[in-house]
Amino acid sequence: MNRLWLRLVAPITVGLLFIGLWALVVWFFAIKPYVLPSPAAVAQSLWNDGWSLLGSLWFTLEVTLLALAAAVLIGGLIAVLFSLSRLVEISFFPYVVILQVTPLIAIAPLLIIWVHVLSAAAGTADRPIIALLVCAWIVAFFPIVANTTVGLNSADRNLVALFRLYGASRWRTLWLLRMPTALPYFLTGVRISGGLALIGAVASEFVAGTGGAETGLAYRILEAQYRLLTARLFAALILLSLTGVIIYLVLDGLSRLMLRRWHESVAGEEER
Amino acid sequence: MRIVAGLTPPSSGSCSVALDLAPGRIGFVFQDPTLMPWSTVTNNVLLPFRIAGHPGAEARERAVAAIEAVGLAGFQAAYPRELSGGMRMRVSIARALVTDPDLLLLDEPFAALDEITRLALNDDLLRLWEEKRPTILFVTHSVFESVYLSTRIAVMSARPGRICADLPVAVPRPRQRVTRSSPEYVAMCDMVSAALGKAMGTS
Repeated sequence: MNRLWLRLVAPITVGLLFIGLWALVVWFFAIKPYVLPSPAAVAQSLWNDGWSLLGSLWFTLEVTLLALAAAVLIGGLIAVLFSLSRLVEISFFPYVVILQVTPLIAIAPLLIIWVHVLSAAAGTADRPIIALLVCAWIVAFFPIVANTTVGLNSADRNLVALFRLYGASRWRTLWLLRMPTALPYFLTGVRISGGLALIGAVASEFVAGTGGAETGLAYRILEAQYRLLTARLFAALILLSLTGVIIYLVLDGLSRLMLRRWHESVAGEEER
Repeated sequence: MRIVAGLTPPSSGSCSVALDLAPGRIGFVFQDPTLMPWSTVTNNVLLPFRIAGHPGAEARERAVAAIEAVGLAGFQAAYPRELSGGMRMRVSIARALVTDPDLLLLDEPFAALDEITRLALNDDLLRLWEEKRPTILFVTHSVFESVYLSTRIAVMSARPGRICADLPVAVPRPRQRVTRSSPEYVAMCDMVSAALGKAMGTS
């Protein structure tokens, strides 16, 4: 109980001290608001532009969550395929790595052209959100593939022998043994991917720079930069960080819920 | 043992087992309990049935019976991490017994346990064997354990693994705690120790 209290109060105190120091520095050196706005000015901007920024946040969040969902589904599927066939794994894994290590910013313009061409060919309206989605997905799916593949291949060798002894099919072994073994690895991958999906969504939006109806928080940051509305830039930044924290907390909570009965990382926590 | 179970092909020669070795006819207990940490005791014991398909009411009854037979009634819903080493080994034995196998392969199952737990599990194993009389192949490094449990002892040398002696055990049954101090038991232990020493080339 006492420790929980400390866990809340200690970081909040540090935060408040930091904000106080920030306000003091801005006031003492008379820093121009477009260089570093005071905390009060940022709060003011959050209050004034909050609703409009939240609208943009919703767009960014939509890209992030869709990309994460796609990363979980497709990443998990790729990992299962890798675990079923060693040949598939060694043939395709290098390309997964290439996709991962190529700087996203360098792929984004290409994807935007393709989506534009494709939607023109299909006769539909241009949907830049698809390009953003693909970009964010590329960033987010690798940790899930890498972690889950390791997990699927980490089954206890004696249990594998036991499954053979009882005549288990490959699918049965996958379902009853390899997948549960991989679950903690997979969930760690998902937690990393949650943060990466947000980064991917913001980074690709910077490149795409979409204006008009579909405007995300990244675009609002660029806009605030051009107009030297630094307080608004800070407000948008705070919303982004908060979103990242919430995504992490939700994924972490979900992972704890799934592992709490049996996995040492969660179930053994009270004893540590 | 892995060769007998059909898990590893023999490097030379052949291995024949005079029993029907369809899935479920062999039970295997490893040196470690080898349980699935994400499954409850019941689901671990049900594993052979879960591999074959969806376990029905009959399978569940057999699992309950097997768990009771190893003395773990009341722990059906527990997860392996909540159990002691000896209890985990009991779950492993229950899982091997649940299909009512004709052949039970036990690979140093009690080696990692403390002496008290080991003696208790020795007695439990004898009791379970008396009930169904499956063929049990039991690997151990303990001369005392081998004499206490077996009807026949094969002494193996290491590298290359060869059977150096095949000794029938004449210690009368039922074997109980007092058996351990009987003259037949002590004499048999001496004999097996001598055979083992010869196999190792130390005497």
